[in-house]
Amino acid sequence: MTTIPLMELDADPTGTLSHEAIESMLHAIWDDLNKSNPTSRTRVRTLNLLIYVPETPSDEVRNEIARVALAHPGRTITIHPEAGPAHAEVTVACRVGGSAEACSEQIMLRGGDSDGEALLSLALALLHPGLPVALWWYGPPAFARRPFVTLLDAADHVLVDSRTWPEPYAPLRQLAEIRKHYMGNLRFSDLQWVAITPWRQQIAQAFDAQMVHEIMPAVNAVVIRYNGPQYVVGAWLLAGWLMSSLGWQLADGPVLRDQTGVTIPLQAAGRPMTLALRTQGPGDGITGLSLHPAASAATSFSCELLPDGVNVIARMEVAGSAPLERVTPRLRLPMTMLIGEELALGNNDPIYTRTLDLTIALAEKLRGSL
Amino acid sequence: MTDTAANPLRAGLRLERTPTPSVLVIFGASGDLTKRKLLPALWALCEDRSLPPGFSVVGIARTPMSHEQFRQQLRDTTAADKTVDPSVLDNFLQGLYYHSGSIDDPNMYISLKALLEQIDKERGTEGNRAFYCSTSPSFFPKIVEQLGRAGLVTPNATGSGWTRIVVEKPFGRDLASAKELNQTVLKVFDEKQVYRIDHYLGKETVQNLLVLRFANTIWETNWNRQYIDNVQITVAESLGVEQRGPYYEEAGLVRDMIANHMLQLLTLVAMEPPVAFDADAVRDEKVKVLRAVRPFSDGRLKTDMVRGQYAPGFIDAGKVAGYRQEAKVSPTSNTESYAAVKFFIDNWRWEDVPFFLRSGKRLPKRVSEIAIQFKPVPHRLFQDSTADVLAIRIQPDEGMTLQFDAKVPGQSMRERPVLMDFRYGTSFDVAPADAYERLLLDVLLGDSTLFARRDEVEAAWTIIDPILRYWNSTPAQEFPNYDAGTWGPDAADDLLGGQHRRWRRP
Ligand SMILES: NC(=O)c1ccc[n+]([C@@H]2O[C@H](COP(=O)([O-])OP(=O)(O)OC[C@H]3O[C@@H](n4cnc5c(N)ncnc54)[C@H](OP(=O)(O)O)[C@@H]3O)[C@@H](O)[C@H]2O)c1
Repeated sequence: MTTIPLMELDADPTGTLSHEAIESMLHAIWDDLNKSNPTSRTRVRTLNLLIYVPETPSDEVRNEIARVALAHPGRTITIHPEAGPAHAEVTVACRVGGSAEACSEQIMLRGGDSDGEALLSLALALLHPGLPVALWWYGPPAFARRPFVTLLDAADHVLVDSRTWPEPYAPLRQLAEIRKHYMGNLRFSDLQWVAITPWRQQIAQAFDAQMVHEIMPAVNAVVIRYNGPQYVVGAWLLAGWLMSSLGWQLADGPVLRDQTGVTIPLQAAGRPMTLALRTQGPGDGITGLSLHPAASAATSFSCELLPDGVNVIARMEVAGSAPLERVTPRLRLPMTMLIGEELALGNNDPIYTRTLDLTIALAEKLRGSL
Repeated sequence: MTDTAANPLRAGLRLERTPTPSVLVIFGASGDLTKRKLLPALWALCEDRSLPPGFSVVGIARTPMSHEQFRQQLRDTTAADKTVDPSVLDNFLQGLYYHSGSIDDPNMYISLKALLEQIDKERGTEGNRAFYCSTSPSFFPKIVEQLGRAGLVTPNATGSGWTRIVVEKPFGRDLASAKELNQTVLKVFDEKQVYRIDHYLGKETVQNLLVLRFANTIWETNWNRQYIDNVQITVAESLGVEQRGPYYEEAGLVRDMIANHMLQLLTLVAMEPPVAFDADAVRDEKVKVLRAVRPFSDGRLKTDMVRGQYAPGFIDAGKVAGYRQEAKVSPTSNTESYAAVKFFIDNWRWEDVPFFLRSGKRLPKRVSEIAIQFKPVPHRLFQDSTADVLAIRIQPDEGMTLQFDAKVPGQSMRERPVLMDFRYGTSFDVAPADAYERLLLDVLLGDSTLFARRDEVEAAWTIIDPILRYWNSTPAQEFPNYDAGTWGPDAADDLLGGQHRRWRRP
């Protein structure tokens, strides 16, 4: 990876920092690059990526942003509001892609006071015309307020990460309302949903086998295990996905709580069943899922994170034969890949949309029982 | 492939394409292709979580080997890869079995059947089997007949599992042998169960040709005889025949490259839009192109093709032997290591547009590309204007380049060709999967879009047969006629005809 030295620009004494001056700096960098090696560098434009980072970005966050920006080249504008006058840092970063280097523009806007309003006007003026705008919201889940709502108007796609929410109920509800307001004209992605995709794949693949498929009508208890409070939305999403795919519904009746988690009453085609969310297992995130059929059923299925905290073992048991075990990599996708997966999809993920409705209903039931 | 009605959890999954639990039986399991391509491709699919639970492999060859020794082949191939997770690999290897025996021995199939039934029971593979013929082509008919005789072929739609057969290239060595092989195979299998592999079709850029043509409107208006002057398809290799002298002496370049890979590329460039992206619709259109290829009259056999054989020369500054000096090659060999052929497609879209196909060994570099050469403007306003070119690079460095004229800055009106580039590696930060990965997955999924159909194979041989017969009956006097490390015989330049046409330097 080649990173061209930063060029910096400060606001003038009136507090103004012109977007044209920033564009001129970028032109100057490109001119230099083209003179030094005109043939092997390509200016790639696939995306405007707006990143909102309210906390002072640590080196780790900065590196993560740089990796994402390189993998999805175009123009990345990071907005980091803080006290003091507006300030811009501009650079071009290149990675080897085929025979040429693929280069993209990275702009960091800082200062402009901590509410971020001043920087927003600059960021909006700097968006490349014609290219889609993805907003990666690194900030707290204040989805009903500015600056989130201001940036929403410019975005085609919003990426949030429920793993960073200190409390899940309010943000989930706010997102649901915003989604309703935009009526499908804006894509929403939760990176936690992408992070649980390997679990969904693993479970879905197991259900291709006839013997596992057959236990479905007999299932009367589902247990989802997870570790770490920030993954609770992941556990709800997994439950919501199973419910929406298999036609399970929330049933009347109390939510039972104990030290290991909660048990929620469900029903499937009139048959009562339970969903348990337990905090246990090695590692963090989702750690396991099992389906328990009625005692009379001959087959069972479970899927657990191995003690190495990395791989998953799926176990299918049919009475009378040895259990079949399959180990697959859980693929803990790094941030670059989580975002890459989402950006590669052209439209709203209808399964996520469907799942989210049930997840919110589940969350409401749990909140009501608090 | 499982549908979402049978398994509602599949709906909307990004990894939608996973096959049903199944067994892949490989004939020729101790051979080069299995070791170098098939097992690594299966392992890559496993790492990608694209294989179904219980997926198993049974390898067959005569060499005595234990299951563990067979598994060791994959351990060896992956040994240097630090990213391999041992517990995932071990678990995958548990599904690999080796069955020693000869293809000629009927008893081998009886014990194979017992093994497959045991695997079905233990690993839940439910009678789903794909048989992969990775042996010398002379064994293909025997394998098929014995599988039929041993009751190992379940007809489609009987509800007791599926059976498929994968046949490696070359599929026949001329029209008569291809027809015979088709008849043998189709006595036992239904056409829908047969997967004739041409690994070129598994390449990402080859599939992208379909997207380029049929997902964009800008090309379609120009994609015809009105705007295109000629099409050049080049598949160049810098390697010589290496250890495959005996095979190459029998085959020659036309059988090895043009009869399959290159005609496939030609059909993808020339075909009409299919009504759907499914196996039959796509292949119907490809067959129409092959049927429209102008047959080679006696006159054209003399004028519209050039053959070559390499003399000693230099590749990457290193001295290399000539074809006739290669191991196990006759010192008076008449086999071509280079061919350039001018094709015409007699239909509404392509009448009189030449398609130049050239391929050779020991050319300066390894490169495959398709160059669409547009016509010059009808009336030249600017003195230096050149015709536009769309070059589609298949390997290496996959991508596309559009070459067009732009004004050179300054007071005078001068133009110069400039390039607009699209590179896979630049725009998508992912390495393309190996062609065998894609094709093996398609076999297990039952998707034959990227495989050759019976009529396609026979139509291709119908085109190629006269060339082979003519060259066979008129031994080349001028061999060797190009130095290793050059772009082939001079006569290939004359083939293009017309002052304005030149081979593109890929
Ligand atoms: N290698 C490549 O890169 C490549 C590329 C494209 C297409 N192909 C095609 O793929 C096929 C296989 O090629 P390859 O290079 O792997 O050939 P190979 O290395 O010669 O392997 C041939 C295999 O056939 C087995 N075999 C031979 N006689 C047998 C018998 N009577 N019973 C059971 N097994 C027998 C051999 O094992 P034993 O001697 O142990 O029995 C060996 O495993 C060919 O059709 C080739 O044209 C190969």
